Amino acid sequence: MIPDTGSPSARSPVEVVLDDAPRMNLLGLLMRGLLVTNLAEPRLAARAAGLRGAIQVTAGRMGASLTFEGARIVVSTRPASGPRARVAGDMVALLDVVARRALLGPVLTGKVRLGGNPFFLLRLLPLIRTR
Amino acid sequence: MKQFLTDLLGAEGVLDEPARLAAYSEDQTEIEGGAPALVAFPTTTKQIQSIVHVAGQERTPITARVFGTNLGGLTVPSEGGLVLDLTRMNRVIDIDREDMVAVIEPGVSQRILKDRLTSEGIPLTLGYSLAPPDTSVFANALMGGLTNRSLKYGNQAEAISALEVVLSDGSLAQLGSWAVDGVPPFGRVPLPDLIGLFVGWQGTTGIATRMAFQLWPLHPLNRRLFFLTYTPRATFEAMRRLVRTEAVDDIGGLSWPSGKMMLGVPNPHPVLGDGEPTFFLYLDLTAEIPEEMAVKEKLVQRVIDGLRAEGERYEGPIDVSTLVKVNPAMGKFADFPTHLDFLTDHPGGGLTWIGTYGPLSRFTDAAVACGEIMMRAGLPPTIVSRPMRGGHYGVLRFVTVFDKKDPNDVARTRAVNRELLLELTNRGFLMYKTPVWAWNELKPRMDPGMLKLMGQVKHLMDPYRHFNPGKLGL
Repeated sequence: MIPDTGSPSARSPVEVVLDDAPRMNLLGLLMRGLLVTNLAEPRLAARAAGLRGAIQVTAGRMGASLTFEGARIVVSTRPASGPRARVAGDMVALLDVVARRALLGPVLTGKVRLGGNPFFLLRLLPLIRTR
Repeated sequence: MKQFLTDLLGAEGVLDEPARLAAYSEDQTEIEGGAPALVAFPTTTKQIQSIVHVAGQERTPITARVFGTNLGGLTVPSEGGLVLDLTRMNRVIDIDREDMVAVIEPGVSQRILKDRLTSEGIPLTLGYSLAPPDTSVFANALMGGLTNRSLKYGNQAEAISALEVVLSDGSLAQLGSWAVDGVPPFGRVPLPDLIGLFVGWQGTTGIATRMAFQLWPLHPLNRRLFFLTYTPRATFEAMRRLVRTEAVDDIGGLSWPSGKMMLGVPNPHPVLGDGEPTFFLYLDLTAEIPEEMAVKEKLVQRVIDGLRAEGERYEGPIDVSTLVKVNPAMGKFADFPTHLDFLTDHPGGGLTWIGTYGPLSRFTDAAVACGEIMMRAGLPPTIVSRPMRGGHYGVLRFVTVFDKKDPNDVARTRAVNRELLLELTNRGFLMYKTPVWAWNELKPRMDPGMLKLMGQVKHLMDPYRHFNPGKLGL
């Protein structure tokens, strides 16, 4: 696994690692970058450190999972087993959610589909949205 | 020679320490290096004239260079030769706002010219290559390189409207509209186009010392949009149709490995995973007023919707600002010039390519065939493509990063490059910024009349055979 060194999260108590980096897909790489940026903020790092479990994200036909293990977050292309939450949509809609902070509209129109534990999702959401 | 150069340039203008000369002996490619005996740093045309005259008398080979970022081994010097490092000739001599022309010296980089235009609030721009910001505008133009204005205006050589050159005997010639005293540098025509004797000749016919370089209007509104595509046909058919709207300033098709390397994976696996996009297509739109931008966006959408109706899949448009917000690494594609450090600063230190120009109609099949060549060699198919000159041709380039210290990796790179060159030539593409080994592959296929004429011109222009010897395989 490739950890993030030399990145903002290198100073964070939570490390972001890529599972099988040479095979990591675009979705996983974008999420990794977003997490690294956000985890430089101590408040968000503390939130991440307190999370346990996985979220499965699907953009179009690309899938990636984020597994929160306290001191690290593992980004993988392997489907998470028993994810606590799921988010799916096309890439454009997901980027809208992530970058524009809009959630209700894409969900109501069906462009983004949410599943699993809503509380886990709500706690996780600030970590995968731009600030 | 060393004493002559020291007398002419001062001690600070001459380099002969072996440790520092090493930096001039090779480039990032797999091409073998050559150790120069001396490096000289002239700052005036007169100095270059003197040097060329003396070097000719002494039959000393000269390699003129600026930043050495070309990937064709074109500034690798002859063993024991003289390198003329022109980076200290870096003046923007003049910018004519009305006729949209800049007069520049060889050492003017993309960054220098852009900074000058920006700092003076001049609403003009130049085309930027994907080479680092500290890359010579002058050199890229002389080699017919491409830029982000090539879709509209062709390769960068087509922006040269006048040129000053030092000939083999040290004399000076003014070409293009500078050929007639008092005429401003508006263009290469209508006089006989002798500027062509220095374009694409890879420094083997003389040394250019001043260039009049055409600039273009800078429009106040800009958008860069990305589309994710899932087949080569979707990529290149979109490219071809978008070109014909004449609404787009630049289109780039980058295959998936570029994106992954940009996002921090230096050695992506050669095989793409399920559901992943195969290309990133980016489009640049500029406009004077919002209404114009809206029309252009509508034209783009019409093309994409038409292709979707034919069964092709696109995700987008995605504004580059969104991508940069999500992952700051995407900022490398937010503005030009840019530093694609994931290529130039690759851990193995090696960067090479087979860059070709050819007809857009053949891009899809060529990209597929050459992508397979790379994958069979265990390399991710790193492709850069752009339409040029209104779609009459385009660039199709296959990039390899490798470990310069690993002989096996170097050998593999050479073998792949050779196979790519042959495949692309067979499909109607011609390599630009051509290394010597590629010239040697091409020559048997070239028209005897062309070769004869090249030889005659070369003999006329370089009777002492001291201008960058061998670089055209002649």
